[in-house]
Amino acid sequence: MMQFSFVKSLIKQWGISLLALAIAVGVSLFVLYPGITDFLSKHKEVSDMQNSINNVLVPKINILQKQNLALLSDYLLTMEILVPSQPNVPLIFTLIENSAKNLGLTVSSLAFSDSTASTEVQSQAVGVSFTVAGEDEKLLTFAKGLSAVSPILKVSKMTLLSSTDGNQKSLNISINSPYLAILSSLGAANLPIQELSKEDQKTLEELKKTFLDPQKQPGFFAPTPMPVGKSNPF
Amino acid sequence: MPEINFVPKKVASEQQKKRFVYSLNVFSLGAILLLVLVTLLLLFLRISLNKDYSLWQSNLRQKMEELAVYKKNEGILDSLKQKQEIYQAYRKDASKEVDLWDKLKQQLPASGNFQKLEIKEDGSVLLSFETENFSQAAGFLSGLNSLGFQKFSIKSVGQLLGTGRVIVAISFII
Repeated sequence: MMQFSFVKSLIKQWGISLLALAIAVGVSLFVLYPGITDFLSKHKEVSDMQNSINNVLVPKINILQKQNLALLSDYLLTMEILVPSQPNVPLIFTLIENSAKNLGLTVSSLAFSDSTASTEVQSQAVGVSFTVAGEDEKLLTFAKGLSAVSPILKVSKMTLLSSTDGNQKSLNISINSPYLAILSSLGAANLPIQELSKEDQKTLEELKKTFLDPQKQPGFFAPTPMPVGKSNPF
Repeated sequence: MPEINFVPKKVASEQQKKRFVYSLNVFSLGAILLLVLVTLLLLFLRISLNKDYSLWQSNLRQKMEELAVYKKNEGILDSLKQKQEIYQAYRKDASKEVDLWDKLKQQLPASGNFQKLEIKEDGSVLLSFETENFSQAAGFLSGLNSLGFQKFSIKSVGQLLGTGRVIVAISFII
């Protein structure tokens, strides 16, 4: 009887302790462990977000602060002349006609094709093909002049055909002229931005001097002088 | 009724029983205390995390406001870089075909003539030229090597009756 009462008291003691342990284990497993895991992931998230401010936004603001808005606008205006926002087929036609006329060449056909997406860079391009006829030297001068006009033109295909007597030649050229609309919406704020390199600035400065010159407005075409070639080996 | 002995033999003595119960209680109490401490620590960390989050939010708001001031600069710079990239890609070899024509023309004797020069988009060139004699034609073809066109295929060679002029058609890739 005495032993039975001891067992009862022992179970009572063990029961409380075991219950306390069970609560401790339960709280650890179902409350503390998820709490700690959640805290660690959120802590990493907050520190990553803070890092993105320090590594992306702050340098971006610093770069943008340094920019000279007037100079950038001038550069953009220059690039707008070279790579317009919209395809300007009449201007290209006028350039071809005027330059051919200035050199005493005759334009026999002039056509343009629909805008095509450029594969080289993210832009669209309008295709123009034409045929001019005249003397060999003048045709070469004309073709060389095409790379110096604005908007920029790139020869994609050319065929030179000689007349039966060999004095007159006809030149069929296909050209592409790229265009790209100015951005209407900006990218995400967390996207980094790069400032213009010194080399870029030098190029833009030269282009600005060339194409923002009032004498070189689109429509004006001055044929480039014939370069002195090397002596004929024959 | 037979008597059942519930007491384990190992804790048979009264002293050992008391010590065992005491240890168990101390252990349980320790576990509970540890639990309370960890909970308090977690609570403290949570409060600190909330502070960090609020700080990040206000920092972000401030930076976004600063960024909004320079939105125009960003737009111009982005557009400028895109257009410049296109310009450079097109400018790189804008006059590749014309330059080739010029080089070939310089190689051709003064009395020679291009009957046909076709440069396609894929870079394939078809050239038909006319010279006074075979020697000049051979001279022109060897001149192509100096221009860097070692591999060209001769499509046809012919001589005009009467004048004796030679017409050669070749093709190569630039």
